[in-house]
Amino acid sequence: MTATAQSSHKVGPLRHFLRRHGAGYAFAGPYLAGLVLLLAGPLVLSLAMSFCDWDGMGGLDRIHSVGVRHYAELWREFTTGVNSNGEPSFARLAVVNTLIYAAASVPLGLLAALGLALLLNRRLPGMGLFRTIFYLPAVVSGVATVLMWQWMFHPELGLVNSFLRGLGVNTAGHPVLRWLYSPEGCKPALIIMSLWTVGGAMLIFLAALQNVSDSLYEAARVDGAGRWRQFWHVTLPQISPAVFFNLVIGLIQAMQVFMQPFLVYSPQQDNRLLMAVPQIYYEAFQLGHFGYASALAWLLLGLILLLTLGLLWSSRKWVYYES
Amino acid sequence: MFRSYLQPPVSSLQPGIKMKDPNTTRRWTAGSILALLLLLALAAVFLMPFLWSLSASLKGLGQVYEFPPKLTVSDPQWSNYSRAMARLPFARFMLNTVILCVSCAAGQLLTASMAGYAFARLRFKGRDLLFVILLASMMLPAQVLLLPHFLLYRQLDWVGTYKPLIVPSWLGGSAFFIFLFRQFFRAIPAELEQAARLDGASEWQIYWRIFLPLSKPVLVTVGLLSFVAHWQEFLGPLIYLSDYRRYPISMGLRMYQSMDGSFVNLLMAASLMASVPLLLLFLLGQRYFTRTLLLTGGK
Repeated sequence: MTATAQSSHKVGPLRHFLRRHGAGYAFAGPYLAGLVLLLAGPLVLSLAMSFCDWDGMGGLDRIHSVGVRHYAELWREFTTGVNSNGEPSFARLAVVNTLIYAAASVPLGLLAALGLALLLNRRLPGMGLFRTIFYLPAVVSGVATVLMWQWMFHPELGLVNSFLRGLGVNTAGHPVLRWLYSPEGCKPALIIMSLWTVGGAMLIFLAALQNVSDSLYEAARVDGAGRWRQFWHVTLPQISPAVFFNLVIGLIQAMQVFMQPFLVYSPQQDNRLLMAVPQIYYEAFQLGHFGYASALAWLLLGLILLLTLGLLWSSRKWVYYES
Repeated sequence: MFRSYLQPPVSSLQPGIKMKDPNTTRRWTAGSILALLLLLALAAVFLMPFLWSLSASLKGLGQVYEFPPKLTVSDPQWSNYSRAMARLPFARFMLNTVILCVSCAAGQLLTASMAGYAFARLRFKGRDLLFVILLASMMLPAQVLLLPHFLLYRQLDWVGTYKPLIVPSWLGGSAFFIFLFRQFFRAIPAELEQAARLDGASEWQIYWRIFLPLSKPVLVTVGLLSFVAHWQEFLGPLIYLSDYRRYPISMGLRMYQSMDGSFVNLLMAASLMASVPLLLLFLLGQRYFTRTLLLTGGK
């Protein structure tokens, strides 16, 4: 203490400040630089760009302000379903498709992850191996595995339909069973693909399940609760923070889906796999509508924020936190 | 790529925590046998995409398009793998990917651990506010930053180079990794640090000589997660790279997909070869990282 006081007496206030805080800023330096240059700055820039026009070519001097035109255009597209050229609105279609995909894949993914975690949460041989197998797809999933799934879903030569034919299903008779090559089947196929990568959520559930105290189950048994009532009144409330966490993360991820629909595109899908982020990419990098694409990105951000806040608000009613 | 970074809040990351067994006795009830059978069936389903593409990768062209398709291969064509490698510069794509992954992982390991150290062990003005911002930024959807980042890198004349793909990793890189390091460093006893400080060690020496050597599990975890995430990165290379000789394997596979539309066996061979390094890394490192992630808890 006295040493600091003495040195502050000798050196100036700036030197004193740096001596106390300098190391912290130095160690956090790269991150702080990134925070300003790659997060805060770009956020402001992106918002500004949504009020401007820029074709992605030429210098920044070709950027010019257009006010709220892009937002007005988006508002019109979303309310009337028609864009300024009188065509059906791709932006609205993309956002609607993304919402449908999220509404189906997130709850199903949660159920699948929880189901796997419950199966793994018992003292049997081979649990470590099963855990590895179920988590593996989440780790290696990428372009390669999307291409593998595309082959799995091939209407004639894929394993999925071979299996169904083995069960006696006439796969030629249902448009849904043309999977990625039909408007009806492409969304279910994409959702099934997403279920394959629930390993991360499964691990979180598993950790939460293993944290539930045995004494709670014993108390429930003493009160005469059966297995189902134990699950409903002990397990679920105890793991509700994990449910909430997986729900929020799953939602944010599903709303940003890009690579999968981008890679499995086929004209037969009739744009039913047109998702929001691919549409932003397309507007900006293919059509050179950077301003419009920025406005669409902010619209999507607002939507994700709204949904997340809604979940957060509702969580007070169903997420149980030990105080 | 955002996906793998976003992992749950870390509640307790002290090394050496024992997992609790859900049941104290092992019992072979009808229920557990049923569960085991169900697990076996599910494991088969989860592995099936790999097996199905392995089977396709070993078939001749005639066999691949044979109807009805079979999982078994009577006459495996191992030469499909060398043919797939010859059709496009596969080795080049893989080398590019390794260069990108190593550059990014090195940057993230260094700068994220430094920031984690600052948040865990150092005092500086605004630290707590910055930490809240760090946590909030984990929730920010990355796509809002896509266009302004492009604008920035274009202005710097970095489009077409690896810089837009690597430099962010040297600027902290990922909020989640910083968070992981912070949680781990906080659990290291203060006595070690104080002893070193009395011996006149500098802040850098304490970080480099004491904290990092004690942090092997979290270093391995972050290193692996970062490597895997960059191996799979697709949107970044799609936007910033145009010369196919600089493509990483994710973009390379897309070339196989569009060029080899009718050579499914070669496409599957290339996809499998692109996944094998990740498979090996995962199996080697999973001792560390499933454990570290399991310990991150759901609370």
